[in-house]
Amino acid sequence: MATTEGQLGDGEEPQVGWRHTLAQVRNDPTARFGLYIIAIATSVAIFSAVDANLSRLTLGAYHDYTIGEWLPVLENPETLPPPGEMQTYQPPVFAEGGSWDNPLGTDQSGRDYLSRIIYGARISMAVGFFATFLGLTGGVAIGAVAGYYGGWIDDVLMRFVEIIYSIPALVLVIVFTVFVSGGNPDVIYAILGVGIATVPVFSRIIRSRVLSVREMDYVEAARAAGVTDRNIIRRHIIPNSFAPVLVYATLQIGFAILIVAGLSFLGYGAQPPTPDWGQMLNHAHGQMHVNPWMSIWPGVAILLTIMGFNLFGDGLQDALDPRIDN
Amino acid sequence: MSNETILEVDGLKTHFYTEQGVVRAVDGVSFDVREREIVGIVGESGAGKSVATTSILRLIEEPGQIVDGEITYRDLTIVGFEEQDDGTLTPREAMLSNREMRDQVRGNEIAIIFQDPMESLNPVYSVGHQVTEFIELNRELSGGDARQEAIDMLREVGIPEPENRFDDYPHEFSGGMRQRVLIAMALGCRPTLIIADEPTTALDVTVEGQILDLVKDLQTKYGTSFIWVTHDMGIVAEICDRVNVMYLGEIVEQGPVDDIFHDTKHPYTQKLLESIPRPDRTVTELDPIAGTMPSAINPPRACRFHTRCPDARVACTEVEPRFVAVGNDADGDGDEHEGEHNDHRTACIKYDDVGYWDSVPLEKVGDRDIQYVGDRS
Amino acid sequence: MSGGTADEGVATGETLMEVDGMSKYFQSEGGFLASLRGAADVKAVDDVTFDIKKGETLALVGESGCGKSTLARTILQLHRPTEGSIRFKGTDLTDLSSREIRPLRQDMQMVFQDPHSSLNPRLKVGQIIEEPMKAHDMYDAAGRRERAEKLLESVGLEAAHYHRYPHEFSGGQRQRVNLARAFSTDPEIIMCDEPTSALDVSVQAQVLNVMKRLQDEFGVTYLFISHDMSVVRYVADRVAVMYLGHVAELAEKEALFENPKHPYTRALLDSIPVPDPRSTGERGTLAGDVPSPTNPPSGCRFRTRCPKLIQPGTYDVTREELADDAAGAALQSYDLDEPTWRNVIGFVRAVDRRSFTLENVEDSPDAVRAFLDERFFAGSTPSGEPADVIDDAARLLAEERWDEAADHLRTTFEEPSICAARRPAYVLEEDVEEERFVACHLYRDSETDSSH
Repeated sequence: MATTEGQLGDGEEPQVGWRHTLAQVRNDPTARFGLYIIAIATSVAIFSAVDANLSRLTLGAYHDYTIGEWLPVLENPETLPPPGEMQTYQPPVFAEGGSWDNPLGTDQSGRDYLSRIIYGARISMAVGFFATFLGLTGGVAIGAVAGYYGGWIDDVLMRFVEIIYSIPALVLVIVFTVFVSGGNPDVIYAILGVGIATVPVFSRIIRSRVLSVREMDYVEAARAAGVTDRNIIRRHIIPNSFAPVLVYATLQIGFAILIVAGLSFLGYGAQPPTPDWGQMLNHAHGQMHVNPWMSIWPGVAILLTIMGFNLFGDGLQDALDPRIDN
Repeated sequence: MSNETILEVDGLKTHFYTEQGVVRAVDGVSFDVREREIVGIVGESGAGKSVATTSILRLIEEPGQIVDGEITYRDLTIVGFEEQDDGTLTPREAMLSNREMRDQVRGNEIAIIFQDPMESLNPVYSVGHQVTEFIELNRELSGGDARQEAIDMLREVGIPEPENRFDDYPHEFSGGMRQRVLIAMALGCRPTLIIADEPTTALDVTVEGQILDLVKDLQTKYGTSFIWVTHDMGIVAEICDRVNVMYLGEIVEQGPVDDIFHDTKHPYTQKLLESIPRPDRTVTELDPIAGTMPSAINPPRACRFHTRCPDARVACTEVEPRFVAVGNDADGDGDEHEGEHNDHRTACIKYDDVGYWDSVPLEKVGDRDIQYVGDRS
Repeated sequence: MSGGTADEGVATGETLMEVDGMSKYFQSEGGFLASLRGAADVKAVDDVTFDIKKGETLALVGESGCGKSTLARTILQLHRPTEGSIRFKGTDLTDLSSREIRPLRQDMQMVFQDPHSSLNPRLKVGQIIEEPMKAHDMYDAAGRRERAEKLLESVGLEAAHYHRYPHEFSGGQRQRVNLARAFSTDPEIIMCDEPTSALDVSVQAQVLNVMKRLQDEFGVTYLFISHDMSVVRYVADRVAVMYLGHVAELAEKEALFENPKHPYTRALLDSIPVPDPRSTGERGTLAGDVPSPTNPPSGCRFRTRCPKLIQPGTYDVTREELADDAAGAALQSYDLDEPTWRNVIGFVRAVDRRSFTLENVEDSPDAVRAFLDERFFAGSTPSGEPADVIDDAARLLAEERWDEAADHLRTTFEEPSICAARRPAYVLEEDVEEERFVACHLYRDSETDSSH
């Protein structure tokens, strides 16, 4: 085959590492687009909390509420209409009766819908990331160990994982809600439930890669050299098995957001008055006859976010595939 | 003992257009194959041997392209170009279309056997099925006749109980057996020429011996010619009648096998023979060729071997070597004359009359500063 | 400058490693249920005994499936042996737990065959070379770095290559990195598993020369695995030829190549094409395939293909040693002359392998017999009882009962042979003070007999 073997001094770009991967992604328009959406969503999520007075448009007429400590109290008293005069269920600006004060209208308590959508990004992104992170860490740990050692360790761990797999995420969330907090739903339990429910998939993905990586000569070389199992897994097995996990993780963030939205829809995620897209959908569902617009905006937000992750995930998959060169 | 020439390759150039540049995998290769003979193509990886042979069957795919040269099989033009007024080359009218290649040439006139039998056999079809399929495609047989022919071919190549093993799958055969199956497939089409691309490299030496014996038997029986690609000089010595030695896309020496081994002319061939260990005597010191084969994207200027050649001189970086006859070149003028034994040729200016001996030796053998083609004013 | 383990001060030429009765079996089917079912074991290495001397290069040669890789890996405790012992500088490695062996790995390193999969693509070459040192807490970070750079130069690369990644190197260069890594802990013994097989011819020579130079410089012992006899002839001091899990022959290199005693060694050497078109002498060909390691032949494992199979009756064989179905025919001595015997065995094997067809022969036993006579016994045909057995076989073949014919022939002619009854193992004293081990009953009457 007339390929060029590595010749020292060619000054080639590195074929490994995140630098290379990033370069590949940069050359892929779809992946870039996905990345932009994610970037926007993430900055919206972060910055919507930082400056309470960003602009009247985004944060006007905003009620206060807290969840833990990382959601600050927001108040803009000047803009709050006196009690009793809250303008509820206002339509968006392009419909009759709307105004630029509330471009997407208001909700059942007169709160600006656009602000709530933006704020909801925070919850969704956080949930998406944390749940996926949980699943990934747990899954990689279990899968890598199971795949590397094989034998009864593999059998036991995989059966354990399968048990988790057989329990739907919702059930796990309910279990946590009931047994840990005595029945008070909270978004934390949603994260825990979804995270744990994702562990099986991650562990399977990495286990299958580990099965082939552990046959590589460099692993045997490390063992022959006297490197401990723990270090072998850490330095050789996991870095070389990680690519498919990373790809799946980006896609999984999208799923997690969707699942938690579903949970919130059912009442098991973020609780009012916290704006959460799923929960907003829940409420909007019941108000279709009063204000049909309310159900569209959360749905659109969910759609865009998930699409962003999916596009990026696809692009990442291509970028990490050594056979495809962008 | 002059047999008719059945395949002629002249000035073949196959280039690959990659992101890193143009890989000049085969860059002007000329040789021929006669009836009933085994012609060897020997060289290291990267020399372009496989590209040359797949070019013969026009199996080169993107980003590769045959860009120049003539390949004639009997009276069929497999590759042929004509020069336009603006200097570009276009395929000639007579050049066979892809369909014509498929129907007329591939399989039934020229067949090819690849190196790794596991890769070449489809694991989900039985062996018998695959051999029969080949026969049906390339000969006027079908159904029961084709099946019987397949069984006969399998027996011919030494597969025991071929009727029973007909329905077995490739993974149920050993490596040597699989290679025999491939030979049966190739032979079943009664081609005139079989291209064998390192067919025994992946096999054990005792199995390799069996395959070599089989090939020699079949050659005698059916009169098939072979192009045998290998990097193993032992095999070359054993079965080849004539040999082409390739280096970085070019043939550096060609001739009868005895001449190549015992009247070696080109320094590369010489160094190659000196750098291999022998089974028949203990070599006290191997003398490896210094450096590594350069990239085919920007090959060294003029003689491509000058970066590693112990005999290189400045002239070697300036004058493009051409084939000169070094066989019994009666009048020693480097030209081929009628009646002279001119089968042994080499592309080295030492044997030409272009000022090699007046030139100054190049220093530092090994990865010399590579003189790029098209470099310098 | 030696490794961290207690310096037992083994002098060059003394025994460094003793392998005694070592076997390694694998389950042919993995899993819990398979072991319950008693699935057959793959006897990859079966009862092997030999020494490795300090400073030497001992080559393990053989074809695929002979067990050489498994043997080497088991010696290095990458697999735990099923049976037997391996003494390294006096300590029996089989007595130690995995944890206790780990520190000893400093003295036992490995170089792998495939330059592409033997280096972690995500680590820099310098880190790869340092890893073994790090695993054994040798030097400090700066010291390791320095040593890695020095090793890079020793193998013919540059210190600056420390920062490069494996994919930036060619195959031959990667093998040099492999070597540098193996030498980093200054080991006593390095096992090289076909280190140059994946390399080009000219690169191979370079790497072999580097290996030789490093051996001179560091005084290391090589256990060199290869299937390439030419390479072995270049690098080895002693050679062990393996076949199907047994050592067929172990001798000094020159002695082995110039005067191979075991028929398999001879066949192996004869098969190699010589890079010289004028080389006289027919290249011999060994017929048949290697038997399955899950069900290897009894006695000498080469007996199913050996051109020198010994006639039954030549040596005494006890009833117990024979396979049950052979016992009846046993203890018979047919006393055939050599040519006839060769014809008989050739015939037996041809039937076993079904390497001929009776398509064009009439179905009658007489016609078959005539055909067989012409094809297999031209020149020397047996008489008496052997002839009767062959007649029986002809009859069975005429009825297409090939398996039965094969069985009948085998139990009569092959199984009662000492080659099938008893595993050979003989140590010969050569005139040059060097011992030679040959696992072949042809040498039964020579010097020392250590068969078991």
